[in-house]
Amino acid sequence: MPNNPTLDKNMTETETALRREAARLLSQGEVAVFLGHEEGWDGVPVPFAASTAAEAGRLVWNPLSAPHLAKYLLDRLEGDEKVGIVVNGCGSLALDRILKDRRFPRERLHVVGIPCSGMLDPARVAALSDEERERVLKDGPVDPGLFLDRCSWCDVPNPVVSDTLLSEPLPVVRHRPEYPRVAELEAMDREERAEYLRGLYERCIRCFACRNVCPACNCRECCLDQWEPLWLGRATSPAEQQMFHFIRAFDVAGRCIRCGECERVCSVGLPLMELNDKFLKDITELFGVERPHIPADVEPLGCFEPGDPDLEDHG
Amino acid sequence: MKRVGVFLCWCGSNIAATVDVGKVAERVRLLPGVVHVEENKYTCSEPGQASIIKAIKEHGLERVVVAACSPRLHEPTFRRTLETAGLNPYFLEMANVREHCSWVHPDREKATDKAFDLVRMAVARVLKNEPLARGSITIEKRALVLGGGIAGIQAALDIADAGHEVILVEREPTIGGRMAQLDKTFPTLDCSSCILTPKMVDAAKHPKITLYTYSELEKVEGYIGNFHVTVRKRARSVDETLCTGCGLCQTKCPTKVPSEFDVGTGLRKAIYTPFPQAVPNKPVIDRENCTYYKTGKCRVCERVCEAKAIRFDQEDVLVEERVGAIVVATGFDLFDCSVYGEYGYGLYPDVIDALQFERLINASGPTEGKIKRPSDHEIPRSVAFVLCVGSRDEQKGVSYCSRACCMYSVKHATQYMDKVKDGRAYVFYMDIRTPGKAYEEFYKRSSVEYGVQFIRGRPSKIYQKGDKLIVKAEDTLLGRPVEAEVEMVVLAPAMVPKRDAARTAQTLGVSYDGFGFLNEAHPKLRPVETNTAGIYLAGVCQGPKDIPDTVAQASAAGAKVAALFSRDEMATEPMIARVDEALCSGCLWCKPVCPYKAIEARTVTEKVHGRTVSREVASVNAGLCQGCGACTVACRDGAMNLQGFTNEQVITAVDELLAGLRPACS
Repeated sequence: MPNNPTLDKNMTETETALRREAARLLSQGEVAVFLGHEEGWDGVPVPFAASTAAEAGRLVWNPLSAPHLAKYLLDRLEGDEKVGIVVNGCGSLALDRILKDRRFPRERLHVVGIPCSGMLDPARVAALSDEERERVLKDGPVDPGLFLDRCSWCDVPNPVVSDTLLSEPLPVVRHRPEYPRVAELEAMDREERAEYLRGLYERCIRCFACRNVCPACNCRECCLDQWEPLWLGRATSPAEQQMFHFIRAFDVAGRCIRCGECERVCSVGLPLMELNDKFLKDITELFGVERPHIPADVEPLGCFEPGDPDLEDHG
Repeated sequence: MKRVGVFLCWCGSNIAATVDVGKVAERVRLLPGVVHVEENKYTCSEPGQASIIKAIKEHGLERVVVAACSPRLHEPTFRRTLETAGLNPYFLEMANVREHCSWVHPDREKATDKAFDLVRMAVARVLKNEPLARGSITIEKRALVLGGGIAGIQAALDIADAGHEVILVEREPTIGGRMAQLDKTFPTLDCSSCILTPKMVDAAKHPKITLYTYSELEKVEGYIGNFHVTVRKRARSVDETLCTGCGLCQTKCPTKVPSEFDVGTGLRKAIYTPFPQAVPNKPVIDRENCTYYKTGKCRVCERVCEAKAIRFDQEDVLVEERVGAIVVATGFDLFDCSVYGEYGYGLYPDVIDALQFERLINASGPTEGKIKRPSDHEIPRSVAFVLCVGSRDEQKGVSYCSRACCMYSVKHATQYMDKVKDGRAYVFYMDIRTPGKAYEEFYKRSSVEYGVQFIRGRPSKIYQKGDKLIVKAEDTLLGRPVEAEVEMVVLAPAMVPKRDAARTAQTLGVSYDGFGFLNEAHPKLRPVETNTAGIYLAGVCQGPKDIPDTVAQASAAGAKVAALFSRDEMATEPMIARVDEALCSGCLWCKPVCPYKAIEARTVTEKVHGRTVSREVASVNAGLCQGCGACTVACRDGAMNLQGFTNEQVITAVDELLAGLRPACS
């Protein structure tokens, strides 16, 4: 995983450019609303929808602008006004997920792209001492361990979907994804793995934050919310918790963009990406897809190929 | 709650010997909704079905569960029973307590518990069944027959004689197939060509049969009654309408290559008909070997052709046809004998395979019927015939018996002894299998009258010693090693599926087994149908068989097609996918997983908060959908449902099974 994330030195300029571009789009009526981040109560950027040029002034772009915004497009499905949105590299994958799942029309979007060399994990930064945090956010240097996990192997610094870019595209070095966290899971035998997962999911409080943040979880009505049929019992029990996570992992299998947002927002800190990584690794090994987390027009698990072998035990 | 009747079948002793049916009945009686429970020795029998009809009427049953064999076998039977009694046929559920229970479990107590669980799940499920209605589709009364060997020819003739148009597609330049390569046929020893060629001519001349030779199936779309097929007519480089079949081009062509028809025992030209009786008797140019295509020079054939029929610039043509049924008769290949390194096939020129031997003894073969061994063209004074080269060998070959090799090797040995009076013929065998009319008698005659020597044992090694071949084996009847010094060895290779059988199956959308043979819908009761409606099987593409069995199966397939074409319309199964448009988010990931191309986008308009909005959703073509369920799995919204097999039904059944395991609070 040869990526060394760094912080963009020109983030302040980018932020200014972002505010200017959003204000322009809003004031010229090119978009009715612009999805970005504003500063949260604890200094961490939170998603924010600016609907006037003045509100565009509240937009921020800084080393903690980690949350992806594409999922908020689903709140704006109704109507036909255009929506502006800011994305960095991985944020554009989330957006592309929504687009490839045909959940939002591309023609209603104006995408402002920002090439990105790395973002910090807000939780890791929050754990620092006040001085240390200030130093890190101001001018570094930054311990690589403070970056989001996805930055450590990211090879999509430049947005894959954009209408305007706010800075020059960054050089791209492609690498084959590795999945070091899967090794342990694979080393376990069936019983061990069942025991491990049971213990893991027992801690889940089913707050559904993982589902809510996931760009691949974009159904009209989540099956986990359906009553008839009742896919998931409402009782809090280890079995139901486990089913919840299995259903989710299988539903996003083949469509997961490996952003790790589920894990970042998990209220009890479950290593949710382990299972997703396992599926991604399997897709590479079984179907020969080199970068299975990049949204594709035809998904390896979502197509019928005449070359798909019939299982031998069919006879 | 709906009134459920449960019918528990003994299936003679098939179920009753392992499952305590009476005990299951006692427990089933207590299930919610169940108002009638009945045991029958054979529920599928006439009295068994009558008792279901009687019970439906007497007890006012609204739902029926039959606990018996696999629904693959008798679901249609019992659906008809319900229909006769005036119930919707889809108010039936079957609990498979035979294949899924009694046949596979030895422990009576546990099997009885499991049988109860299966019935319990079926009862829970049947309560969720909804009435379904069959649709109807029109039938295009034309058939496609794939493969022009004896199977394809027979099927085509039978269908055409029934008055329907047939399109017969053959990959090779001529029809005739394997049978055309054979010399004589066992056990009657009538000449293969003499009985085949008239049929080839009949097929070509039949007003209802359109022949596409040198052609391949490119694409199949659609469904029973309404297939759209695309056939690629490969460029012959000869204008068939002008060519008179005079054969001058073949005489003058300077390029000689090994003949596929003669299995390498003879040569052919680059412009050729595979054999003199070819149908159509029009040559093709083998572009890979033709001097003109390789170097841009030659064109001798063009110069000598008086009919001016040579077309070097001819291109492949794609022909589209609409047909209502397809008969697959694509035949087989032979196992590659060189896999057995110890037999020296491909290494020693005088070790040949059985098809090559057929060419050697054939009067129209390269040696004009004289048995001459390849190395020095001498008549071999002794020949060893080795059976089961590939067959019945899980280590190196295939596990199955190829069925015809015993008999044709006996025939070969007999023919050899007949032609070489002072010769010696040894047959090395594992078992001699003669299950056919007059087969055993033929085998006996070979040793009694012709003096063929049978040695029970598989050779372990064949090697050359001077101009002789030494066959080493163990005679397992005598229990001691034997060595035979012979002048030629004929290996009987296993019949294996065509090398591209899997691709053919995928193009057609039919299933195939681990070897690549196409699967019949039921090994006993539906031996010529596939699981894809409207596609039928004939000949070795389904499994090894000899000529009589192949012809019988081909006629059976023809009869199936004729039966299908006897109606103008047919009923369609209602167990197909249905979209819940309220749930469908229009991602259309169901579309690429559909093997039948049955899913398209559809725009729906709806009122949302007083505004009219339109959005795209998936929509299922009822004619194309086969109810395979791939889309229901791909649909993450849970919007896609299989009628008669709904998510609700499956979840209810699973919940019923797990009822005892759930925590009390849920």
